[in-house]
Order: sequence, then structure tokens, then C-alpha cells
Amino acid sequence: MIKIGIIDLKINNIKSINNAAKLFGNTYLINSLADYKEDTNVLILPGNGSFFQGMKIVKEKSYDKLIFDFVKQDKKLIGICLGLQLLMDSSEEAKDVSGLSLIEGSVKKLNEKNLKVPLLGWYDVSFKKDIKTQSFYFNNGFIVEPIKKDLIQGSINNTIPAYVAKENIHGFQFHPEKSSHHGVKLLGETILK
Amino acid sequence: MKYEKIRIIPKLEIKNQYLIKGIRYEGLRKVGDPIEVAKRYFEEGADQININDIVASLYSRDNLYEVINKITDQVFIPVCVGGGVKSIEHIRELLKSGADRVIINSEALRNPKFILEVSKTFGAQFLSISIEAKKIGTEYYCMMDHGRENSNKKVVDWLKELKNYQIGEVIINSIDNDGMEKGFDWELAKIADEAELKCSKVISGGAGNNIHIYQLLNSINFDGISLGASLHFNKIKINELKSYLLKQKINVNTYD
Repeated sequence: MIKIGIIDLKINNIKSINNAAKLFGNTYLINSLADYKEDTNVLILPGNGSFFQGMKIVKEKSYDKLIFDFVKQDKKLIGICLGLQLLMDSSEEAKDVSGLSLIEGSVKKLNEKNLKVPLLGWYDVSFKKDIKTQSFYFNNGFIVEPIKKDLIQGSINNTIPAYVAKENIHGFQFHPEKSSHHGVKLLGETILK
Repeated sequence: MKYEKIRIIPKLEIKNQYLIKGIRYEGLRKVGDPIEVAKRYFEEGADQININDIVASLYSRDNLYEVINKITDQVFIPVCVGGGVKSIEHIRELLKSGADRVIINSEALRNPKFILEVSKTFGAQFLSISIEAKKIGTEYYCMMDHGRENSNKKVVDWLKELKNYQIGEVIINSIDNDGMEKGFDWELAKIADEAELKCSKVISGGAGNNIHIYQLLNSINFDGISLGASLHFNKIKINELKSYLLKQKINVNTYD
């Protein structure tokens, strides 16, 4: 059975991601470094909300070191919503705060004529391969902009990055755990892949 | 083209552990078990579930957390909770129970600084402001405490003020049409539309059939439709409503 560690930043609903992830492995919550188990296969960094608050907790709790070590061991890291944004270099939301720099690029305020800001609801995401176009639930006012565009594996209308993948790092801008059965299935496939 | 799908949002009013429904916020009666009903609406294709704790007193809180816990164990769509939300601590408890976002009405009217506090802590996308509108004379007023008290603030003024805040959405409820199943309050809908909010807007109160919903969406751009009585009393089925709206070229979400 796959062991899945879920980092709790205390700023968002952690229960739903746990509910969804536990369908695919043994999950446990990480509330401090001491909770981390060495035999963890997949680490999930969820989140929803402010980049400033998120990074503040990551630093205070030294989760940055945990995440770097984990990725170095070639194990799978999954960032969700704010969790994906924290993997970038920086964010317009908090200009003095550095991100984890696991994916080159920044987080920008959404500014798109055809979109309500913040995004709050369901949008069709089309993927580069193997995954059918379907609607997923988004809840964010900022969006990632990876420098290497080929890392963008899924997007809204081919313009707004929704799924970013780089080697063993996967990031969803939407909430798969809140996107009905097909969202949970996509999360599961990503965990087990 | 608009990319966003129009959301169909069941609204569950909860008193203690019961799903209840009234007419114009009065004559509340038990209509079922909120956990079973939420699960059914999820399976029928709802895009989100809104829960309103209408007792919202301290002693009943544990009941509410338990209900939300049980709902979010089985429902994999966003669950938003409101009713007497007054503090950051209170919101953290709701998050722990599995709520995704909060809905605030009375406290935002009494203490608008709370809006800033919530959006700073959890982000703008986290917060929905609910407006409970009642027409008195020729004007709509924002009511508080589940319609029991008048804030003396006009809906049109409150909408204007809300544009200064970072919020995720505004849910506009018609108390006068609530539970009547005779259609939406169009005058109120137009007031909400003319406010030109940058965030999403959801309308609630009065829908009784698919046509009511189509006619409104065909003329005014709402991002979500909140449904109570018409779902609870089987006047509308979510999957049938969505197929119907799709045929009318309304951009709703359908699931496999």
C-alpha cells in the first residue's frame, strides 16, 4: 500500500483531500516535521488562499527542507491550488516572499477579459495527453506561469495553466478532490502513476 | 465566450440535525436528513452545496460540525457553509469539518471589517457574501439573522459598498419569493446585475421549474443558481435541469 503524507498548512480544508487520497493509499497528516514518516511514497502539499500565509507556515515549520529532501529522493510531490503556487519562484500576491523554486516561473494575478476574478467554479480543462477534457473546480485569484511552457500539461482554453508536471512533481491549479468522481479519479491516477 | 460553467447549487437549510424548509423564511418544517439529501444532490450532478445553519446559536454548533463532517465524507464537490459565522476561530472549526468556503451575511453588515479579516486570512476566493433581501415599500433592504432583523441598509447601497472588498461571490436571496416556487424576483435580479460586480453572483429564491431558470439565465448573467424547495419537493431534478439548459445553449457542467 502506498503511503501518502499530507502537509496541513492550517489555512484550508484538509479533510477533503485526505478523504480523496485515502481511496488510493494510506494517508496521514503532517502537522510538524516530527510527523513525517521516512517510508512515505507520495507527499501532497494542498492549500487554498494567500501565498504570504502559505509560505509563512512552510518556513516556520521548516516544511521547505522536508519538501526539498523528498523531491531529491525522486519521490512524487503533488501540489494542489496554493500548494502548486508555492512551488514557483515568486508571486505577485506577496512580492517580498520567495517561493520554493521547484518549478521555474512566477505566480501572476489573473487578468483575463473572459474570466471572473477570483475563479470560483467549474472550467473545462484540456490536457496534452491521455486525459479527457472535463470540467474541474477552481477557486483562486492567481495563476502560475512556468517559464518552460512545455511543463504545462493542462489548461483552460489553452491559455490558463491548470496542470503542471515536471519529472516527479505534479501541480494542479484546480481542486481534483472537489471535482466530482472524475476529479478524484485523476488525483488517484496521479498518485499511483 | 464565457469559460465559466453556470453552477447549480442546492441550498440546504439546517436546524439542529434536520433539513428544513419554510416559505419566506417562516413556517419551517422538517423535510429530510441533510446528509442523505446532500449525497443525492451530489450524485445527481450538483456543482456545489450551500449549507445554511439557521439556528446559528452556540449550543447547536456541535450538531452543525457533525452534519458537515458527514456530508463532506461522501460529497466530492465544494461545500460552503454559512449561518452565524462571526469569528476566524469559528471558520477554522468549519474548515476542520470539511467546509471549503464560508458564507457570511449578518456579521458583514454589522462589522464590515470582518470581511477584510477573513479575506486576509483565507484569501478573497474563500468568502461568499449572502444578501437576504426583503422588499419594504418600494425598496429592497438587507435583512439579518435569517430575516428576523432589518439592517436598514438598502441592497443597492450594500452592493455598491461590497465592490470595495475582495470577495469571491455574492449570493442574492429573495426572502419574498423564498419557497414560493413561482419564479425569481426579477426586480431584485436586475438590481444585482446593474451593480456590475467583478466577482461571481448567484441568485436564490423562487425557482419552481426549469423554465424559470432558463428565462432568467437567458436574460441576466448569473454565475450560479441556488435551489431549495424546488429540489426538496421534487419539482426540479438536477440532471434533467442540466440537460434542458444544455439544449438551450446555457453553459452548464455535466458529468459522466
